[in-house]
Amino acid sequence: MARESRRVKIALAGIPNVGKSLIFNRLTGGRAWVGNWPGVTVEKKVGTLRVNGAEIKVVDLPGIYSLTAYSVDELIARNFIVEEKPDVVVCIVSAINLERSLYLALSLLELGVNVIIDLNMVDLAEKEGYRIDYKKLESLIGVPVVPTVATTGQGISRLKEAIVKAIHEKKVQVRIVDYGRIVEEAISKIEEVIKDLAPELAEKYPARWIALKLLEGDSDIVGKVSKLPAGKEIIDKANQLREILGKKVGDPESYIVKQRYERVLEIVKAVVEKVAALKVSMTDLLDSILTHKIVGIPFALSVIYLLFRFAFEVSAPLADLVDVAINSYLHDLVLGIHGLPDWLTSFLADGIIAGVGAVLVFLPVIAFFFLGFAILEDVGYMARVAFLVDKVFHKFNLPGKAVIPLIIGFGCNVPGVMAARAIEDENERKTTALIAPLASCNARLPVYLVIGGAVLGASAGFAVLSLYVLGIILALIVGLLLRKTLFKGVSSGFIMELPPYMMPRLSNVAIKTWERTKRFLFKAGTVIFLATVMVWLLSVTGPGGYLGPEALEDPQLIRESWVGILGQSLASTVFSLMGWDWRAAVALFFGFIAKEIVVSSMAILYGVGEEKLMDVIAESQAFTPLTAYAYMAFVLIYVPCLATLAMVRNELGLKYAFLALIYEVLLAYIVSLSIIGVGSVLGFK
Amino acid sequence: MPLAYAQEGKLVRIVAIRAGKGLHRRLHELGIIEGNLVRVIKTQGPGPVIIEIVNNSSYVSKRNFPPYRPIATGGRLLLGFGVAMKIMVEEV
Repeated sequence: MARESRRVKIALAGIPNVGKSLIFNRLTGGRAWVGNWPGVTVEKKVGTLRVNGAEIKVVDLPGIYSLTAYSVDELIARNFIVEEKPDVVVCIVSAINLERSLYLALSLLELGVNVIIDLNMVDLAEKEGYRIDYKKLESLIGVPVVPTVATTGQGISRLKEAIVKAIHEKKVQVRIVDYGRIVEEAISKIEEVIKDLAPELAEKYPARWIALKLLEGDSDIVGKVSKLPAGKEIIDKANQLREILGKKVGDPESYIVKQRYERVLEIVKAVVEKVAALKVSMTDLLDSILTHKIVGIPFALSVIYLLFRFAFEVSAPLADLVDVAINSYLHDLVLGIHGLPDWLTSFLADGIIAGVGAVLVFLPVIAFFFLGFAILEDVGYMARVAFLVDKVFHKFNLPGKAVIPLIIGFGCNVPGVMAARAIEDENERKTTALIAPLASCNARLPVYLVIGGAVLGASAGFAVLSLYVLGIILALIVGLLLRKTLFKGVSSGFIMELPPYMMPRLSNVAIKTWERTKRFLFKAGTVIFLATVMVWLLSVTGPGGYLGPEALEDPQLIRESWVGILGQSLASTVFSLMGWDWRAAVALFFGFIAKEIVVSSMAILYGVGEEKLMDVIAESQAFTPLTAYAYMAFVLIYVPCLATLAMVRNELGLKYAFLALIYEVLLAYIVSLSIIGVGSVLGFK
Repeated sequence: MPLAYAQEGKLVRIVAIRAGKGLHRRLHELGIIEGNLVRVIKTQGPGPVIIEIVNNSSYVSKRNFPPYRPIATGGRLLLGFGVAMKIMVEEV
């Protein structure tokens, strides 16, 4: 522990969209420990920077605009800086968004941090016709400034050198902003009181910073100060000065923020050189179509449709290959091994290998879906989609940003639920995480295709499309209900940085694709694998004991297994109104664990391979078109998979995982029953 | 009038922000400050807006700097319908 604390550590700070994660990867070589900050579901990344034989710990702080007590992310960053005292904080400043980036940089300097500025994206600024005099910036703010282009790696080695240098030469600039005589007088008075009455506090934080925060009325600092023995005296003094200040300049907090901003603009004005006249930018041109009032939404729908086509078409050969390799070749290979007991052969072939297959067959399509999505995101299009849908989402008390977890959910619900993290407002975030599982994920599609293809004939395509739409409509309605009941409250406001359109950056796209695919592979993968093994176990055993692997081939025998008995009782009770046969009911029961299993367990129950399943279902007349559609809707709505529930628990807690489970099952039941009810009245069969 | 109702392409001045303490401060920190000029790049009027902060008028008047234009397209902000309703503006 003692050794650990002596290790040199640096932190990375920056506003959203400055290329912070790319810089993190450039510094650490991409290897990182990823976890959560204690007590909250905000991601924490820690890596190691190796330079000149030294090992430096690199901590990635959340993307923030400032260091207030209003947002969890900002409190995390602030507390980390104060408690853990990183040797250097690298503040990443975007050359194309200088004002807001510098505002954060000044806030860090005021906290007494040893800052170095990484002026990133200098290439883009030049493209826009501007250059930033970084030497002048350096002299104005008194800390080192290193220009970089994270996408190409330009300037990174100089950044590393600057970090090493800064570790040994601490520079502090707490007085970077001059707040004008009136405020400065108040600050000095409080500073004096703090130094007199609470010297221990002045050791931890710069006294000037505490004074500022007390004048601003920062809830976290006010709370911390009042706990001190001399706290009341300090707070009283501060409040007295606050009042005087309020009479002279209006709300002290607003005034202080404005003054700080003016200092930022003064610096920006001094360091920005215009080198070329501004042309009509590509971004404006694209936005005139892509965010158009009328054309925008239809265009977005086409893009999402193309995303699906891309994912399916490109991955198809790969998925087939995986399928053949695992479900045929490997499966047969195991069956061919002589001398193993029957049960073991079956366990390996129909349990383990089938389990691995169920996961891996989906891997290509999910990976390509997330690849396409990451490209759209990196280009800057996803922020525009949030803009396009905001007006509609607003009617359901949700921010436009909530569309992103839903679209990710089309790929896999597990990263979809997690993507809700990006929503700042707590109530909106929880609501979004709870409705994200209603987005129809890739694993549900095979169920629609098999059953729709077998029973619905020509209208199958339309039926499948309608389910995707149904999922989104239900998500919005459930969202509205949640926002009116459990997660009440007006939206705290949806604000998003709108970056210019950019060429996708390979490393960015690769990282994002991998991070989401990884969640499917490891989180969903393990659950699906275990579940498939369990299906096998419950199929080859029954109340009468071990039935043997023959049960998987013999539809009569499997009726005697646990699976068969369960299905028959479900079909004759809960699902009796829907008219589904027992095999369909069993498949639903296992589908609870993961949708991948619905098709494979049906295949087992009908005693055929998956490729022949469609014909067998069509012949068996187990479904009418109406009951088939109701079944597909049920598959869409009820719990997507155990892994998604685990993710909801992870993000929101056990209570909400139960809530998700209960609402989804009830909703699925109600919707399916309504489809059958309304459908029969309308004369469908 | 609320920013949500402003017309596309228009230059407007922020006259008031009717928001709670937290949002008020966040907007200030993003450069959305009473007195500032803002260009409405895109709107679904009334609805969410995409804006660009054009200059800081208090800054201009007080220190006599020429109007300041932010660097091209980097600093654009998307404000949701709800937020755009809380920011009061007038056309200039």
